[in-house]
Amino acid sequence: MKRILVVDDEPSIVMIMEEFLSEEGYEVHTAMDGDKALAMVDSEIPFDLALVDLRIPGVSGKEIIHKIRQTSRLEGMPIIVITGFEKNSEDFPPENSYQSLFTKPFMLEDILEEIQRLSN
Amino acid sequence: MLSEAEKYNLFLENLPDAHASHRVIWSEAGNALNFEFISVNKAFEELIGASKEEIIGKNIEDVLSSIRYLGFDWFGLCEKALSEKRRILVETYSEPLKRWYEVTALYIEDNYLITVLRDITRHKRIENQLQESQTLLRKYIDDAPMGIHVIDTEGYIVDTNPRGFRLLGYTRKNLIGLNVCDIADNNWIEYFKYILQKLKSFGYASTEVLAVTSEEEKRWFDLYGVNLNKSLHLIFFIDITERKKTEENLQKSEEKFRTLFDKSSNAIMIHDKDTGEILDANEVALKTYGYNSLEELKKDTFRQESPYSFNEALEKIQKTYLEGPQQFEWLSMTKNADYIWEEVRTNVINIDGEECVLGTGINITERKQLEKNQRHFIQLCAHELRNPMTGIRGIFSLVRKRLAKGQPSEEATKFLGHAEREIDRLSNIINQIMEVFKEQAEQSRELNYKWQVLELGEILSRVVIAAQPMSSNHKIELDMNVEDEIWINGDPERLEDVLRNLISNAVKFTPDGRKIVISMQTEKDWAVIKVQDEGVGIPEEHLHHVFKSFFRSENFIEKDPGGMGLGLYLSKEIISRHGGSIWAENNPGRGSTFYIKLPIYYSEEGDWQ
Repeated sequence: MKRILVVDDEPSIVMIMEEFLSEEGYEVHTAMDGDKALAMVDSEIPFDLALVDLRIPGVSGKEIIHKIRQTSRLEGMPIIVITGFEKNSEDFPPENSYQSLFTKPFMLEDILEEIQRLSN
Repeated sequence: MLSEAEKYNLFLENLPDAHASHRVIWSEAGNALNFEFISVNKAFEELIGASKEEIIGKNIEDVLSSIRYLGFDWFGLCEKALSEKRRILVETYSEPLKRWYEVTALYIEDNYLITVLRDITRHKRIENQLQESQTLLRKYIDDAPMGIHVIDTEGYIVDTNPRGFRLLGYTRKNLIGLNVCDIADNNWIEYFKYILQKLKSFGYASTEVLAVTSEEEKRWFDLYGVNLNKSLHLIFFIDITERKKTEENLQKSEEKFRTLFDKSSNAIMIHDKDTGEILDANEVALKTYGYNSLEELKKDTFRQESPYSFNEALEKIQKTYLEGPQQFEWLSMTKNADYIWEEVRTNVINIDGEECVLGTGINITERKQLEKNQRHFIQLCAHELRNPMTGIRGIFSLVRKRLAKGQPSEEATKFLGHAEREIDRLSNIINQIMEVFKEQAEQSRELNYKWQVLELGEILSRVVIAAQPMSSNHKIELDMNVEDEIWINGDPERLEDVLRNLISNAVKFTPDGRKIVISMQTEKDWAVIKVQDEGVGIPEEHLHHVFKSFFRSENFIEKDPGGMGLGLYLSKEIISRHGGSIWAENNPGRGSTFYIKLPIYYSEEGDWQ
């Protein structure tokens, strides 16, 4: 079973993603703030993919992505950035540090398709 | 050896003047009948064009027809000299010879006369020329465009030309006899005396003076004085009143420009149109760019224009000169390397005959910052709107999937309930955003604020009473502590909104059964309202952020998931508009306190309303 990390501070989004992706057969782990997300990255869980919102309380999404890329255990793990902001250089991680970008409000079906493409 | 008589005859014979002696021929009645030529000299022969032999022994009347006409009454002249027994002198002009002669009939004794003719043509010519030039001079003086006065060494006016007396509003008669000091302006009398002294000592003076006409009008003159002779001076008066007025006006307009330049609330700099060099800058410019003196700024011309390059600045200056006024936004760097945005307007002006480029800078850094904040706010709004929309979309996906699988509709209904809540949230967000926009728009236009003098305690009581049902639901005690009446100038509805927001926040974050203390008191010229709760408090690092738009502390999210983080932001805007401040502190024990400080209103008598 593929493991997915979902980082977002929006309770409804986290809840819906969890519900939707679980039904598709994924093991979903969630983090609603930066500290929790970092703890997940540091944990032993071998994630296959991460969905990261850039604006979350505490440590920013950009920093979390940076941390993931420095973690050898998660080397090559695809990252999908989800954001409610327009693309700007300040808050955004370097382009080569993530695989795709979805702007809210996205379609769960589109995300799923991308997850399937990236994790195969 | 020649006798004395012979020597004398020789002298007469060679005299350059024509010379003739006559014997008088008397009638019996004792009248002179005629004058007989006794002797003539060589010059005489030449003058009349006849020889000695032809005239000696003959009467004047008899030879007149055969000698050259000399243009005078010879007989009459001799007769007059004889009857008056003295020398008679006439001047005559000989048309054939084209020469002037001075003719003297000299009475020697009753029977004897001498006539002498002296050629005075040259003398006459000089005299005529002199007279002519004197007439001409008089004409020049009379027609001169400047006043000319002849004064004596004491300063008394001896003569004056028409221009001279008219300029001063006098007739010639009235002016002659006055002293030049009499036409001086009261403050200039001493100076006039000094000029007279100078004329006397150096024979020359040149200066500007202020004189007064007979009609008490002050007029400016250029005065030149020269010596005419030992006892007279000539002074020229040139009216320069108009020029002086123009100069004065120019100076006034220059002063006006200087005042505008100095007192302007905008930064103004004047640049050389070719090099861009700063020629002048006003106080505001120096202050804006952080310089102490113009010299210091001038030295830094190149740096001042950055972060744009100096060439870009020069281009603007030259474009102004070639194409006319320009207007643009410009990022300047101060001496301390701070950036300021300016709206710059340039134009060409003429300073002391030099075309320069004048630039006016209005500091729009704040406006730029505001624009940036607004952009940021809009981005935040978009972000906040996208979150619930994402949720709603997600729910659609889930419901669609369940329906496709034919799963029980209860589950779908549950999800649709979620969607409904998300939609409520969405509209709540939109309402609050609209509130903020409205507030900002009204602030910028000062519209819709209903200012009035009001008693703050009354408003506070109203809000606390309205909050009672909500607090009693949570068994929270609302303790109100108000000293005296405090009057302020404000918008009651908006202040109520702020207080309601603070109190309802306090209720939300205070656990059931605890207490909230609301108090109002004066501190110097301020009214201070405190809302003190016994809740969870605010993380130290968030104390300053809670008033920012869309800020939500984790505590907030937990306790008030529908909250937008705009309530406190809006409160801060409203309190600022009232000239007050709002802030939060954590209590030493538990919970936090929100403070509002508003300026007390004093009536004109200095008392409270």
